[in-house]
Amino acid sequence: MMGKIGLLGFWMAFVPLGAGYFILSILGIKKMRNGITADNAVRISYALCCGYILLWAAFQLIAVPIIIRGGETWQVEWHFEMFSLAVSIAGAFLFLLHLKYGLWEYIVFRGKTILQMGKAKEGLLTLFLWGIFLAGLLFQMIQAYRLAYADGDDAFYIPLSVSVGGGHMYTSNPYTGDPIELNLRYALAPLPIWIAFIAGKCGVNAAVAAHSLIPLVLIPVTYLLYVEIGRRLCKDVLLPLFMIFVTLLQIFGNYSIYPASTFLLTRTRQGKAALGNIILPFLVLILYKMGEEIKAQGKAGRDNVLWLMAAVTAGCLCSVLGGFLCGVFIMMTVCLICILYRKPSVLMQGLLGCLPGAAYALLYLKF
Amino acid sequence: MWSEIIGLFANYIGNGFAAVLFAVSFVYLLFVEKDRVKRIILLYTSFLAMLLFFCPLLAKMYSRYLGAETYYRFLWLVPMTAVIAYAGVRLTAACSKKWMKTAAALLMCAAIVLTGDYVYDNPFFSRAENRFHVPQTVALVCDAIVVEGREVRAVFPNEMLNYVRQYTGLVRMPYGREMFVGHWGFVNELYDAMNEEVLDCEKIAALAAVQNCHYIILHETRKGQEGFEGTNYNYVETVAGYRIYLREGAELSLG
Repeated sequence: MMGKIGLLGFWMAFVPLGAGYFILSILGIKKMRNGITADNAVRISYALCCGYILLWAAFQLIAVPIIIRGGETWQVEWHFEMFSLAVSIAGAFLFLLHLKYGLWEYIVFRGKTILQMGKAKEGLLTLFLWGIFLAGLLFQMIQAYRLAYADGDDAFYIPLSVSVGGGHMYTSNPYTGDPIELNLRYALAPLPIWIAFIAGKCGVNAAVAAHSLIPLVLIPVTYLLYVEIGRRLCKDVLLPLFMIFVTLLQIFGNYSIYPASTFLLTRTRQGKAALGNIILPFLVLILYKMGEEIKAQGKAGRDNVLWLMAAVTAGCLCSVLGGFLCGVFIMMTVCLICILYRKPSVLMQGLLGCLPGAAYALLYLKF
Repeated sequence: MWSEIIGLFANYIGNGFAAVLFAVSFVYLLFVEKDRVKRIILLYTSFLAMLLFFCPLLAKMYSRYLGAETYYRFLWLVPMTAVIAYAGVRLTAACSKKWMKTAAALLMCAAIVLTGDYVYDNPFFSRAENRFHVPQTVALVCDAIVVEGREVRAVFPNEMLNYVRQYTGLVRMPYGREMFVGHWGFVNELYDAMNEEVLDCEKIAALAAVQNCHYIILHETRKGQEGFEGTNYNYVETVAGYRIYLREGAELSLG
C-alpha cells in the first residue's frame, strides 16, 4: 500500500510539480538572469497548479488524435509518459540548478521568517488560522477516502477507465460492455483515460484510483488554486482567513446538487468537477494576473496566452463543455479589461487563448 | 425558454440563502472595493455571466448544441466562492478593533454555515465498504462469477447495475444504468421481466439465453425462484444474499 501511495505521490505530485517548475522557469528565465530572489522564485503551489494544467493539456493533445485514428491505449500512455517524465525531470534539474543560484538562500530565509512568525503574537495567530484551514482540508480528504458517494454518472465514466486495459478506447458501451462504434463525442474529453493511466502507474484498479486516491490529490490542488487567488486578492496576513472561508464554502456548499462546490466533494473523480473546481479557478487566476499586468505595465505578458490556451485545452479534456465555458469566461473578462483599460491587444490574447476550445468545438459538431 | 431558465436557476440556488449571501457580498464589494482589476474579475464578470445566463437566445443555442440538462453549469462562471470569501476578508479587515475583527470573522463563518448546507449530510453518501467505493455485495458476487482472462455476461438486479462495471471490466451485462433514465427511451424485455413483482423464471431464462447471458443473479428474497428448476439455468451458490444461476453448458473455460 505504501508503495502505491509513493507511486501516486510521484505521478500526481512530483511529475506535475516538476513540469510546472520547468515551464515557469523557462518563461521567467529573463527575470532569473541575476539569480533567484524573493521576487522571481517560482512558488511551489503555483508550480503544481500550472503543472497540472500543462500535463492535462498535453494529455488532451496526445490522446484525442490517437483515439480519433482508432489507436490503442498503450500509444497514449507511452507518449504521455515520455513527455511527463521529460518535463518533470527537466524541472527537477532546473530546481537543483536554482538551489545553487540563490534559491537555497531564499528557502532558508522563508523558513526563518515562518519560525519568527511563531514567536510574535500576530504571527502565532496567523499560524493558528493556517492550522484551522489545514484541519478543514484534512477532514475533506479523509471524508473523500472513507465515504462513498452514489452517483449514476460514475456508471458511465469509471467503466471507461476500468475497461481500457491497453486496447482500443471508447469502443464499448460503458454501461453494458457491449462493443459499439467509436463514440467520438465523449472521446473528445478523455479524462477517464488519464485516470486509467494514473491507476496503471500506481498499480491499482482504475475504480480504486478514481474513488479513493485521485480525490486525495485533486481536492488539495483546488485549495492551492484558491491560495494563489487569495494571495493576489488579500494581504499575506489575511490569506489564512480567506482560505478558512473558502473551506467552509466548500463544506457547506451543498445547497443544491448543481454548484461546483458540491461537485468538488461528491464527484471529485469526474471531469466536470475538475472543470468547475480546477480549470475555471485557474482561469480566474490567469485573467486576474493579466489585469494586474495591464494595470502596472500597460500590457499583459505573452506567457498568459500560453496559459489560457493550456487551460482551455485542459478544460476540453475534462468535459465536452470545457471549451465553450472557458471560452465564454475568457472573452467576457478580456472584453471588460479591454473596455475599462482601453487595451485592445488583450482581446487578441483572449482570442488566441480560446483557439483550442474553438478547434474542439468544431470537432464536436463534426461528430 | 424563459420559464426553463428560471426553473434551472431556482434548482441551482436551492433554498436561496446562499444566493442571498452572495448577493450581499456582491453589493458590499461593489461599495468598498476600489481596485479596478478586482472589480472586473469578481464583480463585473459575475454580473455579465448572470446576464448571459438569463439570455434566452444563448440558452436556446446552448440547448441545441450541448443539451439543456447542463445549462446550469453556465453559473459556474460566477466566482461565488471567491466573491463571498473576499467579501468576508474585506469586512474583517475593515474593523478597527481586534474584538470587532474577531466578531466579523465569526459572523462570516456563521453566515456561510447557516446559509449553506453541510455536504456530508447528503443522503447519497455512505461509508465506503471497500476502496472501490462499490457495495461489498457487488464485489463478492462479481468475484464469484468472474473468470480471469475472459469476459462473462450476467444479468443483475437493479440495485447492482450502477456498480458492476465500475468494479470489473470483465463482466458484461445485457442492460445497465441506461434503463433507469426514462427519457432516454431504452427498452429491454429482460429488464422488464426481472422487475415484475412475481418472477416468470421461464421467461427470464429464455430471454437471458437469447441475450447470451452466462449468469442470472437474483436476491434470495425475490419470490418464485423455484421456477428456475427445469430451465436451462441452474442454481450454483448464494453469495452475500444473492443467488447465482449458471446457464447449462456455458463455456467459461479460458481460451
